[in-house]
Amino acid sequence: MNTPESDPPEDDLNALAGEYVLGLLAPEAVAQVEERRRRDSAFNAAVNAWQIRLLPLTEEVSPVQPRARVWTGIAAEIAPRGEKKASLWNNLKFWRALGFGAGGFGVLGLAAALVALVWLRSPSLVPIATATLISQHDGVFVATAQQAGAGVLLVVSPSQVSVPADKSAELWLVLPTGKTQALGLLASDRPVAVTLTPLQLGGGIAKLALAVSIEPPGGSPTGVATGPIISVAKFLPL
Amino acid sequence: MVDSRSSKLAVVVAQDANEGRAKLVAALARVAQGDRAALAELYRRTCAKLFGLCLRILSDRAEAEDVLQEVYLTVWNKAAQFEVARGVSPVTWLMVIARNRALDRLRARGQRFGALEEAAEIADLAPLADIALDAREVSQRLAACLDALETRAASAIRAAFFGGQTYERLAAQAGMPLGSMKSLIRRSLMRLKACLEP
Repeated sequence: MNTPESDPPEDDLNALAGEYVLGLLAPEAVAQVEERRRRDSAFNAAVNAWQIRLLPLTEEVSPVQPRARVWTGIAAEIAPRGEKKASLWNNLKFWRALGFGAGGFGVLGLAAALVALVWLRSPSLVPIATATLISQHDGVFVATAQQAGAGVLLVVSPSQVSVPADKSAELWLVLPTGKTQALGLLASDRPVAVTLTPLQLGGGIAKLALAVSIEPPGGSPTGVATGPIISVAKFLPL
Repeated sequence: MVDSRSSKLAVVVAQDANEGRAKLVAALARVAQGDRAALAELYRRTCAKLFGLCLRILSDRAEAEDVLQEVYLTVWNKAAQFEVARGVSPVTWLMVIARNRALDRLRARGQRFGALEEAAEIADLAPLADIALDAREVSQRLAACLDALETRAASAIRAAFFGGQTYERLAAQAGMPLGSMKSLIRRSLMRLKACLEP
């Protein structure tokens, strides 16, 4: 027996919320559910209730310690900006918490935090978003977006990234449509600055993502990524 | 004798759990005010649990690490929202974010950039503020209610929860027609709901 599509009974909606939380639905159905969540608060509450109902299943999972580089990337992203920077340097508790002295995270964290600090120093530029591009192989590029007039200055700092000697790492802007635009080559040993135009910014930086691909020396010959994409990350607005 | 010792132990364990939870709540409150040391503490206390979940869902260390990083950066930016959701344990809040992010990533696999714009917003748990949870008790109740379902329904629900499996794949794996799998799951979900909230 088919359920009429126009007016699904409450039980059906509740089951749909459960199916959504379980992740059973096809992408089109997921989009419909997310649209309904936004306009139907009762349905949204049903979805949240299923989240809570099923979450205890996670108690069945054994904890696993992640590698230190995860925290390294986080520490780089949350490094302070503007007036907060002085207090950070004096904040021994912060450095201890990061694992210095305990030998936990060590030089890597310091290097990443330093790179971020140096590039966030200029008081005239206001950081508005960050994106962390973690390479599938090693290291991480941390991109910091700063408002500069109507455009955005993007500073992309490498940390422990290695690029094969006969290749180039190329940075791509991923538009909300999924289309990509080449932003230039990245260096594995120094930060690189790129400008995003108001046109590229479109509906706001939160809708954009960055990607890094490995290309022939000098970059993709075609204007689209030709080599393996080692990382994709959305901008997180600050 | 044994009973009193084990109940004493249970009290100690419960006290520890409450203390741990209180520390997490305090850390999260400080994170909301931009305290980086508090985020480091939160990370130390919860990262293994969250990473275990991401790894279980993604089966790929690098991807799981990527998602884990996103989760804590989300927490850094949205910790203030947790204030609204008092009563929800911080670990619950973190686990919901981690699972959603990991499943987003799983869905995006193979689609390259296609799924980026569809990535779900952070789960808004504010409406659940009045639900207080004791993780172990609730977990045992859920396990009991799952056990009360048909075995194949319970295992399909578990597979879907951790695997982001669509109906098509579940049906193929179980060797069942798609329609039968759908009605089995929908029926089982409503039974599960009734069992958990009699």
